[in-house]
Amino acid sequence: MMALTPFILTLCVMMGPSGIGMPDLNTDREILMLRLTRVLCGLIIGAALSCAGVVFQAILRNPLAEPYILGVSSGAGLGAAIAIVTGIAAAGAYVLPLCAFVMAVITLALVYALSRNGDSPSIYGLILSGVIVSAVCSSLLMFMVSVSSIEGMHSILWWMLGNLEVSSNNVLMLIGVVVVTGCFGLWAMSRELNALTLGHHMAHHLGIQVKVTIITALLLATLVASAAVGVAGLIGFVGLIVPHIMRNLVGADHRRLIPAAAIGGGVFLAACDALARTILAVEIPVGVITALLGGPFFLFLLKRRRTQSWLD
Amino acid sequence: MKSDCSFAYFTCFALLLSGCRPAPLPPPSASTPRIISLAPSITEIVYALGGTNQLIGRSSACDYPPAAVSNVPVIGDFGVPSLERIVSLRPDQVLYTDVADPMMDSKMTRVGLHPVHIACERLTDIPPAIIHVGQLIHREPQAKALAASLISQIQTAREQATTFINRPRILVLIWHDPFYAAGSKSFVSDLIALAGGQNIGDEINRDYFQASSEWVLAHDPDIIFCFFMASSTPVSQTIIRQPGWSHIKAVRDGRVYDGFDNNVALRPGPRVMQGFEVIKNQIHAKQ
Repeated sequence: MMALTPFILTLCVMMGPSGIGMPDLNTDREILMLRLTRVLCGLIIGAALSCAGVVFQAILRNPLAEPYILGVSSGAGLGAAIAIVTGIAAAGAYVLPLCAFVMAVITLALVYALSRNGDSPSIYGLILSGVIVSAVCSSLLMFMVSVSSIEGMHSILWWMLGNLEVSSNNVLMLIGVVVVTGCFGLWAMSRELNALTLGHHMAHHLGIQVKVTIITALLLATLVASAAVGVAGLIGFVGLIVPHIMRNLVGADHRRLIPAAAIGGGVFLAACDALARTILAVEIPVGVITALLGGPFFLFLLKRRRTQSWLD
Repeated sequence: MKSDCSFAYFTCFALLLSGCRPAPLPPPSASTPRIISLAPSITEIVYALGGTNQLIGRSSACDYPPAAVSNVPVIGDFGVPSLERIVSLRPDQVLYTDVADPMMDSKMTRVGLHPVHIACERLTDIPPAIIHVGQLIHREPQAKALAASLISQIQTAREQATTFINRPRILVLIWHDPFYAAGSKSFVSDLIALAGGQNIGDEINRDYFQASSEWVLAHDPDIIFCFFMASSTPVSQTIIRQPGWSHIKAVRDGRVYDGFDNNVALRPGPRVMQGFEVIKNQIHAKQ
């Protein structure tokens, strides 16, 4: 599987709307750079979303958990819409990602504060307050869409569909640093995460500081997911499906699962983006491709495993 | 005649200074810069200035005139251009009015392109936009002449508009499901005012807004203009069949108009006066 990675990434660089094939270094240097940054962005965003997905699924012990479950996406969407409607988004390359990121972090803080039940946050409390805060953010977002101009509406919709084109190299670098640091941080917490999947009480008896671990892991995962959402908008399915696929392939031990999810998610998103920009004359939102490819592949793996266990 | 002309130049210059947002000029690169237009109105201006041979890329919405632009490569849909296609054509400048991605300008600059925003949304934006495009494609004399003629036509129309005693109250619908009406910040509102009508949507300080049946009934417009395509039934029938709308004056008087060429009437470009004439004739059809 890992051996395929360089091959797939090379294919990604060879695909683009201006023609399929490796861009000529002498004449098409800009095109090559454009594709390389997009592949790099895909790797970073994909790694961020699937690592965050792994951690959310472990902490919430819910197979349907994904990076957006605690309202990160709605918060980021609201931040982006505010930036677009007020017109500050056009002021610079940093403004929109920053607004989305800041609102995502504020949303998480709110969800966390609402879910506190005495000392430690309860899982159900987290999920429920995540759903509520997310719904409130969504309706505020809808309100902003309804009062914005036609162009503003177009921009908000465009942002929500997700896109891997970066506005400046510095933004990409900054996001890269945040995501890589965050993912390594989560990897370092693998043992604690493994213990948490057994349940809070079990983890406590194994000597894990449950509250500190949950808070740290949630914060890191949300930070990573918010950074991804801020740059690329809402790209669904990567954070839900890739963790499951990788757990299927390498097992549930986070020491192996987190790096596998990072690489798998990155390569998957980069490949989906290559298809999204090549298949039709007009670029398809990358989220459409991730869902169209990821869904059936996941079902295939699920069915294969089920058949095997039947044979066993 | 000479004084007329200089007056037009003066007005034009004044408009350029006051009418629209300032946009810095990029450094001139070649004697005939190769440009990509991301908006139909800009493509039409480039054509009107005789610069189509400098146009090396366009949006899929840039459809006029078909003979001149059909061979020009398409770089994406209106508002959503493909950066890679633009880069692959190596333009000297990329001219745009409006794009979905608020950071598109930074993205184009990042990859070494020279994007230029042309403000061309309202009636008074058009002559300065023509001058601006003319400067960019090094066709200033043609641009000045075209802008001056447009300004004088607008001026004439404006003077004529003051002579109309009857100023019908007009509802402009650009979509029917839900009803979207033109507000005070829309281009078509300028045309209605110039044609001696009153856009009832002017009380809403937006470009377009969702209009409820109740709002329309309360305003009881004399004329309804429908700038949208209906799927099967004639557009005006869609309006007439709306519950309660049979009481509206425009419906009672049979003054629901459709069948406009939206590319002329809703596009702030050099063909603006053509669209204006159609609107004016409809408004003053039955006095």
